[in-house]
Amino acid sequence: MARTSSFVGLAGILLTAALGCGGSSPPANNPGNGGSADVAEAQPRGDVAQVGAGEDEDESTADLAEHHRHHHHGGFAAFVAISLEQLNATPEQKAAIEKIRADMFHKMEPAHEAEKTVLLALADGVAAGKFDQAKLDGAISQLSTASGQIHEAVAGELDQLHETLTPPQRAALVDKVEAHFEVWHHSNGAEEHKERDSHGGQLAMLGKELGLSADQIEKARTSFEQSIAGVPQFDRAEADAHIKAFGEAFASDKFDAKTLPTKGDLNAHMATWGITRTMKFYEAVTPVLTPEQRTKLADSIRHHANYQHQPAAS
Amino acid sequence: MSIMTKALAFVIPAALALGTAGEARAQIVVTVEPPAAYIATVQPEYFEGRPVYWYNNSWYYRDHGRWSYYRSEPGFLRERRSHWVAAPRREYRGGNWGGRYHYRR
Repeated sequence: MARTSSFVGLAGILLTAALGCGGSSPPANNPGNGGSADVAEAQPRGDVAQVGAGEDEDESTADLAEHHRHHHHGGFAAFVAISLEQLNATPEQKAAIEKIRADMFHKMEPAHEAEKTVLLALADGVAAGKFDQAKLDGAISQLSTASGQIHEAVAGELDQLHETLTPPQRAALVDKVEAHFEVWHHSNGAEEHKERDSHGGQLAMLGKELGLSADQIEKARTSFEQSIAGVPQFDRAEADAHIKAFGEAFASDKFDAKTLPTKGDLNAHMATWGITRTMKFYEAVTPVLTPEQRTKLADSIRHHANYQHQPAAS
Repeated sequence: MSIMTKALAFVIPAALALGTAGEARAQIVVTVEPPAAYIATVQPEYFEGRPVYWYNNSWYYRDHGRWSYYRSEPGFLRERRSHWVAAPRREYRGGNWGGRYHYRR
């Protein structure tokens, strides 16, 4: 009997120890066991230049990167306007938000038209295998001027937006504006390294679209990187300062867009860098293309040029 | 073989097996923050006074620039997510892969 009792005790200790080991694991993600305090910090994704901004995540993210590679005219105001459809607004808010969004796009129209002129001139150059540089430079100059006026023009809409949104929605808008900038910045980098090909890089995308050979891609890569190196680079620090200032101001109870320290210059710098990068990219690619590939690419650029902002889905 | 020996022959392997399973569950799982392109295109939900985003089967939120996630799905968010399936696509595009953002040239 005594030996049996010893055995029961020993078995109990062994089983308890075993179950105790299992119980030391982190809690599983069980939807039935809600508990908002059970949170953990996520790991940063690492250097965006290396891993990308998620353009290769799915169809939507690839579409977004393609958008940002061709449309630079609205700068941060465009990031705000694009984000408004993705705020999960209440039915009561939707009409007011859609009006603000439409008004913002309307005020960006002069810059949008200037950008369209550049893209159509680029499409013509790709088709002909020869670019009208004077026309392109003139159109880029007009785009820069028009983009520089956007911040002032939409300041009233930004103030209305602040009044319309709840504090959590304002935070979501700040998250999204920052995310759009990250995608725009990564999609419009000064390099098209080979490592980017597997993370939604533009050359790899174009290679698929036009059926480019590896030799064509490498020649275009070399030409682009030499060409873009001679262009004054976009100053990311200027944008980071704006994101910080906008984020803090928009999260507070009172907001006045006209008091933001970064005004129209940043949008002008973004538009100028972005469209110049677009131009340099297509100018570098064009000489390595066959006539059929040039025709196909020119059509694609014309489609980008004719992009129209759509009303939000109801 | 005594009763004790027979019993231990059963209990020790069982204990070792359970112990091994416990170690497997205790392995470190690295959870990476959502990419920017995803945050830009997904609809948030709102919980505890902040926006939260469903990504890779967890809810993420940002606090002072750092991303965190709920290890256990809060009941409110689980209930909200259930609407994504039932509601029309245009109402809750956040639940539709590939349908969150369309670049309409």
